[in-house]
Amino acid sequence: MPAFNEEASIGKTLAEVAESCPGVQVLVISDGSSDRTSEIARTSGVQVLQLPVNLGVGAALQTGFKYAHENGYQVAVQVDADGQHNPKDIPRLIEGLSEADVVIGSRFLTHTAYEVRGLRKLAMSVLAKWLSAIVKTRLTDTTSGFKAHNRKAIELFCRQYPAEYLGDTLESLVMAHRAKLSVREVPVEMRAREAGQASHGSIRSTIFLFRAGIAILFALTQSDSQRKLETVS
Amino acid sequence: MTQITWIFGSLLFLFAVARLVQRGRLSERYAAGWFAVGLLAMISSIFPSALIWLASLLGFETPSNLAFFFAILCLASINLQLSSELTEMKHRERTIAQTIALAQNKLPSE
Repeated sequence: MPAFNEEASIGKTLAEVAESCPGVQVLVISDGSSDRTSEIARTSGVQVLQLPVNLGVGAALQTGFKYAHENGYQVAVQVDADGQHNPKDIPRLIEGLSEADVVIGSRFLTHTAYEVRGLRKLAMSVLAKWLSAIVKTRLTDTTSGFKAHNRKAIELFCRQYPAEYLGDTLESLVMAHRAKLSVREVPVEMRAREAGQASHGSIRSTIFLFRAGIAILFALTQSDSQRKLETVS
Repeated sequence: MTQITWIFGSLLFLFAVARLVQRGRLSERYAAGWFAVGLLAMISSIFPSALIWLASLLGFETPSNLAFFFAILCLASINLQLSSELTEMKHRERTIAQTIALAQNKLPSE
């Protein structure tokens, strides 16, 4: 669970995870938080990794994959700290791993509380179509931050994980596909955010689509030899 | 008059680069490139005929266009090199920060 200054919601989110998934080991990666995020997480009795500086979601997640790899975990599930994912869906994500290496919790496969409108919706569906074509599986929610990974995916992502904007979503999926991992979606319930707002403006949506396009092109063009180099360094 | 200004300017530039190297604020790696830029500027300000000759040889209408062209080329390539190194630095920063976080977790808590 990557978290950057989430003191307002992390306690509640952790309590929910503990309630709906007893026995699951939780790791919070505090991404250079300057508030009480780490403190609250430690008090909740979960493992906490405190990054000394803010690196961004992608790098925080990779830290989690490194931890999972070092400690021999077979499954790693990524959940947002802001409480927008329902931890009750975690078992369903893990079940999905019997058929794929990476399982995405999609907000669009069922009718849920989560709704996007206008241009943002258009941008997201364009991305979904494009990525489905690349990954050769039907994907509806490519920017979901609710995902399960098996050991193969953990091994890949602890070695290399995109740290750029949208790297943790779009680029990581392309990367998984290029490493011959399979990806699939399962429906999840999405709740309204506890705090913060998603952007719906038309300019923002256009910029979002544009940057996403660049991110995907980058992921497609990075050569394998470069990736190997990264692994060594 | 302009020639004196140019000579003086390029001397000042070379001096600034030298000072930075002396104080250890600029590594050899970059100093070499900046020294080359400064020297080129100085040579062309002392011997403008060289610049004029090269400009006509390369087909530039005015010698100053050649100077601008070279200046832009130099700045652009230095910028590109810096961006590339910054990318690498960020990558290292990420690895170091992650290693610290993972190592800290293994230490017994105080």
